[in-house]
Amino acid sequence: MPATVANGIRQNYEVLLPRDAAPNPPTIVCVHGILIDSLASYYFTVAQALRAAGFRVVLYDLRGHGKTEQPPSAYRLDDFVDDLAALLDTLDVPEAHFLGNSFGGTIVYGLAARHPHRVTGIVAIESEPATAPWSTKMATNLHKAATQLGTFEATAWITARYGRDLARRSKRAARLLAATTLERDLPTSTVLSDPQIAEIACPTLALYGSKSDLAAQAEHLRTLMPRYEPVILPGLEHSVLVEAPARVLDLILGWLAEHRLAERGSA
Amino acid sequence: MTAETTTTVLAEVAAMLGSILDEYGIDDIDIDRDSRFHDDLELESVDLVTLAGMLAERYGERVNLAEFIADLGLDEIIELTVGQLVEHVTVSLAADTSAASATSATPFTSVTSSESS
Repeated sequence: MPATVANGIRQNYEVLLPRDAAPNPPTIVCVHGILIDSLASYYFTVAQALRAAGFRVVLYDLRGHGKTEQPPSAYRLDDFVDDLAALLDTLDVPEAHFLGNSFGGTIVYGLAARHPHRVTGIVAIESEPATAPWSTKMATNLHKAATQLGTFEATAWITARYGRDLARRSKRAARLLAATTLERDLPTSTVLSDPQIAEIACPTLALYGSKSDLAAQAEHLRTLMPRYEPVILPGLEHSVLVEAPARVLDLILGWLAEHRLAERGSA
Repeated sequence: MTAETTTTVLAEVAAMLGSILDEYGIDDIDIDRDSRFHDDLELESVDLVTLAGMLAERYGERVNLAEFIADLGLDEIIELTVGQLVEHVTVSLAADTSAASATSATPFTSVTSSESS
């Protein structure tokens, strides 16, 4: 798998090119979630189908995750956003659609707020922009993860409920938390105000599981963001992407097709 | 498919897995047909993405690990053995009429040269 140094760390990435090799295919960049996640969540769910639909698909591992370097410090949201912007510079991707899962969506909203010209569209799966309440929640969740994730009891429970691959990834997440300042850094990230969120004006498709507490944010975001379109998937919790990849893929492809047609129509 | 092809593919796949394990500083695991990805080699899903890239580099689009896995589900492939993957590779190669050119394809050792720093 290729890797490159961008924003001062070695970043692991994968680029899937469409088979029909049309010149300048549109790019979609997939940003994974925090702690137990890696680019594999996309690779083995929606990435191949996005490629088949004619997109150049960029996947990468966040700092400290997967096979990307794990620096001991610098784990604020802006560090993650800077990593992504620098990686895209290296890959010569000036603008793209972005697919963000969970914390990956928070990174994408951050990129859109700081570099609006780079983001032509957002698909955010079970995600939220970084706000003051987000910081408080992350502080609690990261502390809980740091104190519980590596324990024998947690590993046994995760193995029984979700299988051994997740159990192994959870142990790795515990090591990430123990070896870095992630738990301390992320809750002190610079967050977005409502007016800053309102400036994210690109088309945005936001997918939520109906059983997730994030779905409650949809109404507020709809009043803020001019082109925000929420879809709530019945019966699902937070892991929408891995629980219902086919449904997620249908929604993404339908939405992308709509916007590509709209773009052509206005051209 | 000849036994020789299977032996060759096994050696090549074992070399790929060996280079993945090397990254973790593990160089003393014997990789054979019965080695299980998860229990014996202690590989994670992200390692399978690396392996998929190596397979595509070596054998081209004829061997698509992502599609193979999509058919099985990730949980099942974690339970897979090296021998089962080798069988998938050899069957995929045999199914393709251009399989004969496989031996003249880029040698596996060039895979690492695709990495930049």
